[in-house]
Amino acid sequence: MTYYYPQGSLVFAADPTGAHSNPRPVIVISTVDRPYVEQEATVVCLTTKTEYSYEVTELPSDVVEGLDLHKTSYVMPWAIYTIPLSSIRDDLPSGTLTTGGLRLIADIIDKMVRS
Amino acid sequence: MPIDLREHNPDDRIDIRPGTNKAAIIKLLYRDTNLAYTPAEIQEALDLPRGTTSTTLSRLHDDGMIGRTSDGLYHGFEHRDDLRRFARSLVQLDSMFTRHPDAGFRPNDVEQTGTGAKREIPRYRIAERDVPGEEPAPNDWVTETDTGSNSDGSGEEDQ
Repeated sequence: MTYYYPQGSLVFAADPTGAHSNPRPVIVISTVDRPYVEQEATVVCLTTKTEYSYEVTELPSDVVEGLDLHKTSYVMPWAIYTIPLSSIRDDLPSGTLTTGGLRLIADIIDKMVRS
Repeated sequence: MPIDLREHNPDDRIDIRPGTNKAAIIKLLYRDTNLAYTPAEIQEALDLPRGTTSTTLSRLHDDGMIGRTSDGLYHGFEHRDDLRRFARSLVQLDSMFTRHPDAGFRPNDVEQTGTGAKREIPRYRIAERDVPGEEPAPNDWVTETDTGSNSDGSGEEDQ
């Protein structure tokens, strides 16, 4: 099966080096029409922390479907990466943002670009 | 087992897991395909056991993923855009985990209530292969009209 993760997927990416034990939660922002969709995904990182020198924006738990977030989560718009699809762990929970959730992500990135 | 060529595409996704020795060697050799390394240099750069290094290099070479010069140096192929891209994404993955090592929540902090996000790629997207094009050289692409970028924040024109 040739698979991908649609735009708005909330997934966990694994640390390839083993230096960090926790898989990292990320949101896929690329679409199926992205080049090399079968190999890569462009993602934005999530965190539970707010003590950054840059602004983070809360991701309300009710904009995620298929997954219950038990901790308040924030989007880090400056942490956008293109990662190998094979680093996304399909044996860990994953969910999908609602249309409102995706709009929120777009607004957060838009705000960073325009500021 | 024979492979159905109607389904086969040499550009299919690279089946190398990040974090493996294979991935580490691809990442090193495709950082700059003009550079070639001895097995000892690769072993030292990646801190791999000697036997593992030579075995993995042989497998990657047999699979056509890396080249070997007649005097035993290993290198990436300039024409393998797929592997160069894969190496770049490994570098980004490393950056992501190095710069943002702890998200503060783990998989145990979420609960799966739906079917998951993974989806099959629509057939139309598999049929439409992306053909990489050459980008122009900087001098062909842009012409400098000023003394340089306004990295000191003095550019007020658009305010």
